[in-house]
Amino acid sequence: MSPRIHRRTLLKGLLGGAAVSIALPPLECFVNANGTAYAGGGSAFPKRFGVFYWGNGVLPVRWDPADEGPNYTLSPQLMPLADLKADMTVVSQTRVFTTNSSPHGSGPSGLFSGDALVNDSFSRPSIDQVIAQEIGGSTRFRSLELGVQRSDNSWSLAGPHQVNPPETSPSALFNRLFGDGFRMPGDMSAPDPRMRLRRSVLDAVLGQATTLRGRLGSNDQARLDQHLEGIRTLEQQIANLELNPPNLAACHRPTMPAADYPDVEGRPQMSQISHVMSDLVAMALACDLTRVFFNMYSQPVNNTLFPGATSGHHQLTHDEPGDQPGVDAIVRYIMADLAYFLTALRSVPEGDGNLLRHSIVLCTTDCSYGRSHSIDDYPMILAGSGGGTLRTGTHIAARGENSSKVMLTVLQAMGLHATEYGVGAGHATDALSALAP
Amino acid sequence: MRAAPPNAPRRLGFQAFPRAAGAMAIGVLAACTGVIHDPEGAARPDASVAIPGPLLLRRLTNAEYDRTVRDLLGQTTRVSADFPADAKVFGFDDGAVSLTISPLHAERYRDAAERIGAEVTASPARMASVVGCDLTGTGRAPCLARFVGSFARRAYRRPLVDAEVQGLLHVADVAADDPDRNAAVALIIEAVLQSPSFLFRAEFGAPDPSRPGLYRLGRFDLASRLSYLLWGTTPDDALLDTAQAGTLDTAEGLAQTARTMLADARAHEGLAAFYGQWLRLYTLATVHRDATQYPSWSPELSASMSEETSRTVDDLVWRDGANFLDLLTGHATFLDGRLATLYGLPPPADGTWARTDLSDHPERGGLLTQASYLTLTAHSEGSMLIHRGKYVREVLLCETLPTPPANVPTIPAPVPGETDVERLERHRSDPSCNGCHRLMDPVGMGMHRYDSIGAFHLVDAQQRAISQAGTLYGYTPPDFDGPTELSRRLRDLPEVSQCVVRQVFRYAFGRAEVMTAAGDLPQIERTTERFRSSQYSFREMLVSLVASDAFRYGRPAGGGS
Repeated sequence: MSPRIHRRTLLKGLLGGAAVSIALPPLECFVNANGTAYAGGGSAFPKRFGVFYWGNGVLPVRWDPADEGPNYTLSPQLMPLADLKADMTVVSQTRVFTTNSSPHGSGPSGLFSGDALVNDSFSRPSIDQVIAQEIGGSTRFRSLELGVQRSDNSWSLAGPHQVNPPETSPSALFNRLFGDGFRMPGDMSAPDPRMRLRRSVLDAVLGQATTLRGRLGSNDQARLDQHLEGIRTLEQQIANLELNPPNLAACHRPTMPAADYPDVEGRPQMSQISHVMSDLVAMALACDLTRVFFNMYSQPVNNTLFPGATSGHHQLTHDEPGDQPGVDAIVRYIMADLAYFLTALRSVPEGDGNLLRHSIVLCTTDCSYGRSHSIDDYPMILAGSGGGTLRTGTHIAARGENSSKVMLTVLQAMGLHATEYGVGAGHATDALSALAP
Repeated sequence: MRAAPPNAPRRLGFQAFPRAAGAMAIGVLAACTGVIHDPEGAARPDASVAIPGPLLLRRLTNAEYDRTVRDLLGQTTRVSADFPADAKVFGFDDGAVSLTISPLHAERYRDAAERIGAEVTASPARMASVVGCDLTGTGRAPCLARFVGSFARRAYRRPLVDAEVQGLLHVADVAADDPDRNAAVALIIEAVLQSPSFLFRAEFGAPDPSRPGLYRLGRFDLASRLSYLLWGTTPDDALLDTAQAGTLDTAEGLAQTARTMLADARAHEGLAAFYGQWLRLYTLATVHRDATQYPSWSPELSASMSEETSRTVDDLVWRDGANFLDLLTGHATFLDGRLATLYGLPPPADGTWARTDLSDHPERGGLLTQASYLTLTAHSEGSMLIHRGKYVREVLLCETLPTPPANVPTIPAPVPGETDVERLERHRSDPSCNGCHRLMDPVGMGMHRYDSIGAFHLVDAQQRAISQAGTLYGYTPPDFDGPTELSRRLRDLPEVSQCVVRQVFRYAFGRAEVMTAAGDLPQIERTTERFRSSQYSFREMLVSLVASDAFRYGRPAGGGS
């Protein structure tokens, strides 16, 4: 059974038969016969997609740039990203069209799934998973979920209620990526004989599952299938190990992070953790361990006590009077961590470009103005150009446009043959032309 | 996915997260104007026929996984520490809908299975108890077959079909030439611990001709339901044998088996898993307090708070003749030195836990005066009274309050000199806030004399007297003076005793109860009636629930194949 066919079937099932037309590009085209270089997609290097998400919104009056176009002036909250201005596009003024029934939940649902919350969950996979279904099949990890704030919640969902929990421990993420199962580029040694045994076990598990599956109802089968997808991913990892790893110049095993980053006087070390996580993600992409990631920097409604803040983040968004300088400082703190993250990607050279240029990173949050939970004027940054398929270095004020248009643009820029995004009020059939290069 | 009950607004839980909230959404207070009533059910002439809920594939929770591998294989380390945490819905970690297996879960289950397999096979003692036969020479094949037969039956909680046995023995063949003769056992353990038949509690059932549209659960399905509800862990061989003998096929047999199981030591741990979640005691482990403001605060004090309530509930569950509703109004509690100091009471003679009579201490007695409740509801000074009221509504009365809708004003920032009560009153002066907050804040105000670690004060920092006048809107009479009067009032409310049953129901079935005549209401009323007629014996209530149709029957979820 081919994993690819299975994924296509699964995707169709998850979308509940809703009209989606996604052509599956042949995965093999990304790697040439030697496995030493990449081809396809208009770039010599694969495209990557990721999300950088933070909770509790922004202050729109201090977030939105005052003027548009390539010569726009960075707003106060975007100032930490000044050095990356040429590598990103700020998209402001779009709206999430789906219903705003749940503070901090409706925005992500409308944006990442294209639908309102249904039974308190996404009705469809989140955009990172839609993309991972297409481009994640040939890497060791189909997608990578991580976070900075300690939590097991995420907006990355493989389907209704099927959350992909983030890894929030730097050392655990390091071990997962670069511990057992990591092979340095050019490592031609024989694979670990243990892998043969592991594969036999996984085969047996699939056999046991087949017997069970025949006895289950259809809803239960969908839950079981998600488990089987995980088992098949484990088998895929073994298969990848048996291939010689591509000889990627920038790939190396990073140093092991500290085992623990304890809170300091009740304040989590957000920046310190975020920096380590950024470097790990950059190297995971450089080593082509994955091409899709979802970074839950902080959670919706999180009450993280940021450095210097007098109160938790969520509390401040509602309680701080006036211009909310405390909230402003937190947003700028997060943008500084985002800047580090994007810079880490940019500092990995790939051919005559860099990793960030070959990526699209959607940077966004759960609402516009945290105090009122509005989802008009949705804050979004698209960093990286997807190997030249997205415009960078500008500010697009797309007044009143459906945020799903941005998502459709991203899918197309990633090489998916998508012609629509979202359902119901969130449905869009046009890309946002201003984002074309 | 399960359809939402009719007329039930969809809601997100406090975490505003689909996973956390989605699994067990139930009807919420319509516009927060009163308590839930069910006119349909009240008007229905015969509301005695229970309609069982859907059968759901339930993944083992992390806590269940740990207890299960401990009981199957003698694993004493908490393997699930590396697993993603389970979502909490209504405080419970066992909401079936949210218990899925992500790719990260699959990796961690593999790592755990490999670790456990290696540790078992490296230990002669564990090998002897888990396998117990000779893996060398001609005895090897029958020994492996015997091991698969016994171990996998316990791990899958049912007999295996032949294809499953052959599949597991086939894995053993891979290690046939391994110089480590135990390697085959390790591989079988790995395969079993990663199998969906182990990780999920599948419930099959079969159509019952006498109950059209319903499935009667199989005897092994029932063994697992009993075991995870009463013991919090996997059935043992004896329980599986009881099932195999047909004892669980009748309501009487289920009741009798449940009584036997409740007499087993495992039931103490199993029921503690329920009430620790119901009363939110687990949240105390993550509470922090500023050391300068609360010099007596320590993680040990927090653990003692949880322990006081646990010992109180244990006493009410396990002491013969105890009335479970004394949880609210009991005149005795269990204290160690730390808590006694916090409460201003003489410490126990030997410094350890002792039952303490509270007759001379009117400010203490009952859950609402215990430091656990008073502390875990105090997320911040400013919201303490709101959450204390919310807890009474949600945990004790089973009302479901919605999260603030999007785009409404929020709690205002404090004005200098303003007290918490005045600030909350200012907030409630906005009609759009008052609808819900009148249900919460005035209840919490009754516990205003207890600070955010549960210490008692008659005056505030400015030496102003602290009022404990509270109001429980929706009940008559609404006004009360302090936690003692509130607790006495709550104890007599039928909603409170019914709520205990509803919370058990949520935990037992991994889903929200549907409080309509066509849903779970008839069963909940019958179980509540048994609770009442047994003078609120928690164990008798449990026994009546496991012998009920709700426990024995289910509706197939989605189409069969």
